[in-house]
Amino acid sequence: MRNAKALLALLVLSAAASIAFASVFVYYPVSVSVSPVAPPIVFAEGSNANQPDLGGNTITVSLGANQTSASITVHPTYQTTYYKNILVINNTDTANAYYITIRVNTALPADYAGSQLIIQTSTGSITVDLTATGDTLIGQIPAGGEWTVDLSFSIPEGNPLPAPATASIQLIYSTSAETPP
Amino acid sequence: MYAPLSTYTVPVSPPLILLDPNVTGVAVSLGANLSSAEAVVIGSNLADLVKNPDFFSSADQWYASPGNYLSVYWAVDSVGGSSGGTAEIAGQVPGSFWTVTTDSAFVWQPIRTPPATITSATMTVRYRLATLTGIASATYVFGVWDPAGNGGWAWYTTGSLSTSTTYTAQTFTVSNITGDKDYLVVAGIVVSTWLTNSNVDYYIDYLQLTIQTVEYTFSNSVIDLNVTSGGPYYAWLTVTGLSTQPDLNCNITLMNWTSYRSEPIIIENGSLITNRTSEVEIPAPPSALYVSGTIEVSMVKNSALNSTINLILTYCTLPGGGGACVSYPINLTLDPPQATEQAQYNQARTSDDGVAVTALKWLRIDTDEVKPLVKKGGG
Repeated sequence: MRNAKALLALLVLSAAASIAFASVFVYYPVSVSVSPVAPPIVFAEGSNANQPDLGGNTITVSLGANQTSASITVHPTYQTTYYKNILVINNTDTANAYYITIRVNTALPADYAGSQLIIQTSTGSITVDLTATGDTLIGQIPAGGEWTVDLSFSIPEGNPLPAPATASIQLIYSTSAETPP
Repeated sequence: MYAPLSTYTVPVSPPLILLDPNVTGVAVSLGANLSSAEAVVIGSNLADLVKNPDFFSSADQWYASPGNYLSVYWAVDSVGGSSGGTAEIAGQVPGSFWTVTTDSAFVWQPIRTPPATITSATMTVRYRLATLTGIASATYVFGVWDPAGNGGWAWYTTGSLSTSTTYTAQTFTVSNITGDKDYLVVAGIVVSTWLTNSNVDYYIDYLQLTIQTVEYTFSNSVIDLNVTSGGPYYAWLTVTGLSTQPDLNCNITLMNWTSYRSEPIIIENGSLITNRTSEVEIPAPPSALYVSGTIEVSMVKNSALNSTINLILTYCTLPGGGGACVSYPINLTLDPPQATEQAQYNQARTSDDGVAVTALKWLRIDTDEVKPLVKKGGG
């Protein structure tokens, strides 16, 4: 009899708990329509891409399958070496302009001091220091516009040649001039 | 939207280096990696116009005009006591019963006289005929060829040669050359044989053309260029700064080993008239006996006052500034000598020995095809 009372009490308690932890879910319909488009800003090879470089090498410019990435290999020497028009930034959108920012994520070492990436816009040139990380707002590429990219390296005479190095960069484009995250 | 871009940089040793041409009157200081240079150019009223006059370690700046049977080499003459290397003309001229066979061969070098009034000129030479067999005669030829128009001798001299184990040194008076003009200095041999084959071995150890001018002058190489990897490269010079005296007249040119010369930088009466040269292809040299090119200065000034010219040598991997382009700084100081130095310089010179000039108008120097001298025995 004493056991029957205890069992009854447990049943009552568990029934009460099930009522206390119950949730109500309400469903509103929201539809997200994803419709990929061709990238409006693409890279293209410049006039000096894959042309002869110093010492019998080649100015190598490789583009990603959709022209949304690019990798460049160059072979500079002492003093100043300039690579003109090795990459092109194309705005294939003929209706909209985009703000372009260059972000240096991984900079070249200090013995490449003075090395620059230069964007030739329709209104002038903007330089980006390749030995410092950070963002540089280049400006607004007009609808259907085309900018070219140059590289300049300064290696002072009298020092050993610097070790090969990579600068990792991002080209960021946006419809607004807001600072990119 | 974020588009990744990477640049992989692989530095390389300078594929084009600057060198000291070792010319009398030029003091060159090269940068640690041979990618910059400073040159002090000593003007004089006695100017040597021939580069590499003694063939000492190379045939640089000299070109061959071989004959039908006679070849032209760069070689060391181990017998006659030459000063380093020589230009050697050797071969076998075939004999014939029916006719006299004549053959000739030459070495030549383009020179440019400075824009000055030339009051006198001398050509100093050292030569030796080591071998001449058979029923044959040999004649030396030294001269100055004027390539203008169809070409012709501005001046020349000839003389009979006999075999010898030692070198003969001579100085000739040169006439009929004027300032601000292109010429070729020429040295060679004419051999005639009858009946029997004639083996010929002739050495030219030294040739220098020296002019005396009223003004302080200089006309020669100040910096050599050599391609060490890749190429050809396409180069030009640009003036980036200058401090000149009003009496300075000066041309600066680039020339490659085939003797192709750029349009000059021009300074007239101390004023910059043309601030860059035209573009010149600088190829790899044809052999270790040559360098790829040179920077030449031709200047005249009346006063003993210094002028300085700051230049940039730019070379690119493609014509018209395409591909990769490199810039080297080059500074020139044009510095007339002190009076005492000039007196010592004059005193060291020798005089004319009065060798007669004989007729040689039939002999022509073919410069249509530029042929470098080859090292005898290869290598």
